[in-house]
Amino acid sequence: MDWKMRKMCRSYLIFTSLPYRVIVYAALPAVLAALGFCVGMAGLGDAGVLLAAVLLPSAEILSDYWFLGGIQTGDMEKLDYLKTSGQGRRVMRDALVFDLIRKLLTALGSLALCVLALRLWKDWGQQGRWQEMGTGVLGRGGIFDWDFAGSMGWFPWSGMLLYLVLLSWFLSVLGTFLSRYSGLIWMNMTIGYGATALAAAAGLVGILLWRYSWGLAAMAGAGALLADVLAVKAAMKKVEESYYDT
Amino acid sequence: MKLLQNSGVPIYQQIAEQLKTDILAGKLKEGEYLPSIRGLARELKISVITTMKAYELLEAEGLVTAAQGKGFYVNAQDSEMLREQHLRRVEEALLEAIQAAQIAGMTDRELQGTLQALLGMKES
Amino acid sequence: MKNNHLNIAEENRMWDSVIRARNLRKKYRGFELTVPQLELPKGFATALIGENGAGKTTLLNILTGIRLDFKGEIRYFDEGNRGIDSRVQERIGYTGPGSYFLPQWSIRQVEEISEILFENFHQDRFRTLCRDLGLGEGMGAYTKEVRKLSDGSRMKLMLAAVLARDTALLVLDEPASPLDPLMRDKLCDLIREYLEQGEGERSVFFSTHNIADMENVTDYAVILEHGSIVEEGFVEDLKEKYVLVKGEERDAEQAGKILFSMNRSAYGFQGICLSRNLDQLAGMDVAVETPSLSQICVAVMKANTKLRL
Repeated sequence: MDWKMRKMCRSYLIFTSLPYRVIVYAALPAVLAALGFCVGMAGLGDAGVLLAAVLLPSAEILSDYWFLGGIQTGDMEKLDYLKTSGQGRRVMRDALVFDLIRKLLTALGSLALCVLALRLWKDWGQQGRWQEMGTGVLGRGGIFDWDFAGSMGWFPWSGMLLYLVLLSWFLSVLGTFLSRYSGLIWMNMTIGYGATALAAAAGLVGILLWRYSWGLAAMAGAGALLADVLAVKAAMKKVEESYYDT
Repeated sequence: MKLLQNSGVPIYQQIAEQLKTDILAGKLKEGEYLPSIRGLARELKISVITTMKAYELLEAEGLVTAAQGKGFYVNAQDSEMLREQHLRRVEEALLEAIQAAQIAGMTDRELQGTLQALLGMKES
Repeated sequence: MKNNHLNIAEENRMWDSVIRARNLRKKYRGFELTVPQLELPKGFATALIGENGAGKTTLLNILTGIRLDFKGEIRYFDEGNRGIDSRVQERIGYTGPGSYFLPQWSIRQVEEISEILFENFHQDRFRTLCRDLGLGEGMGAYTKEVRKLSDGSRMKLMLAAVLARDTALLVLDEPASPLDPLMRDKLCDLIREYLEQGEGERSVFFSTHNIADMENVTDYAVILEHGSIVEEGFVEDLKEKYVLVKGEERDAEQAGKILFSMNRSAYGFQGICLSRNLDQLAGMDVAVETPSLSQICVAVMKANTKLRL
């Protein structure tokens, strides 16, 4: 299994370029977590995590379009070198599947980073240190207004976090799947913003229905899996079609 | 081995001719293998089929034998046959000379005279 | 002009085939590839010759499994199994003019994907080939991206990737076109070397629309016109089947009826005709020579183009 995963990982990595890797694996989570943290620090507290979750899908969709060698750019399915190998189809499928797993890990990583940063900030603040930093830097003086963890309790909050992770994964996958059908940048941007708007709405609904957070997480997970299957199937269909006349 | 691309003599014949000379002169000895077909083709920068045809020509003349999967080896050149081969070459060369003499309008006697003179030159 | 030599190929058929295709058909709008029968001799280099648009790429794509939308049967390596599968593909190396590598791949990544795609890929051999073919060596050269390579270098990279594997058949689609004369010569050497190392078990099938560059490496020729094979055979046999005839201007009119491709000038004519029709030229003052493969190809192609004019 480990060996198989490594093989999948290699198949995936081959379709990504160095700039893509730097931006998507390092810069993207860092920037999202930092954004969420700043917003949280500025007074919105745990709502910062929501922001990070909401921005992730459009970031995924757009980076996929832009960064050279992202797995969905180019005519990956038309490469003769892959087609003349008996392993070609498997390599492409592995790469696609691993890309989906990677998206989940990115969502998980980004949000975990954001939550961790906010909790540390809060603890630090509760020890009274934030007062020393002076007030008014960011207008509200670092008040941790929305302490979801505190008001919901840890159990629903963990479910809530999971829901956010799966929600942004779901929308990332769905968005990239849809954007695969158009090579146009404005289409991709529209899809990206749409995904973000959808994420925001679904996130707010989640906050309102926080008591059922685990149920929501399960739903988002199911949706994500469905989108995964759809994305891989559609891409492989395209690969298959490349052997035939269109 | 020297090959002339535009001499009018097909390449395979040139190869066969040169190998034949080597065999008759004893440079390639009995039982010795000729270079591999594809190896020689690579060395001479020619196609495989051309080399193959040269070898098959030699085989048809009984100079070499194909061994399944091992290539072509030089046959025992019994002295009788060797002499025959040489005689044939002499005949060929003389025939050519006769043709040339005819074109030049030489009489048979004149031609014989020339041959004698040449032989005399060689002896002295 | 009756040849008393053995007809290497046709008569005793001392050769096995590496590919055996029957009733291949592929239809496009306004074009149809129809190959009732095609057998490529094992252990030799076969040239697929034809004009642009004759269907060469389509045929090669069908044979390599890039295209699956065709009718007909193909057998590889004289094995019982029909059609292409991953085991067969492992033994075939293909280079072509279509999209081949991802443009943003570096040479290093080409090496990496090759290792993933082909079990018989040898990294050390690939590196040696890259160096020998002038793609550069060392880390600097390896980071160079495919899209930044010239067409010639891209071709070299494909050749390096394909030759770094243990294969039994190379299918090269127009390998010479993007190469400079020096490199074309090198390509011929590489093909001969490949054949030599195979000791009769390796074959090469390449297409070209300019046979002159590849003449000295062609063993078997297949001439394709408008989707059909119009002539094929071992080069040495073709050179006996056809003759190059040169003659005086006064006979040109008469000879024109027998030669199926002729160039006339004020000084005389020159053309290709079938050896067996040679006696029809009796009485004319003509010189007869062995034609080159290019001359044969041009004559055959002209004759077949004419049919459709």
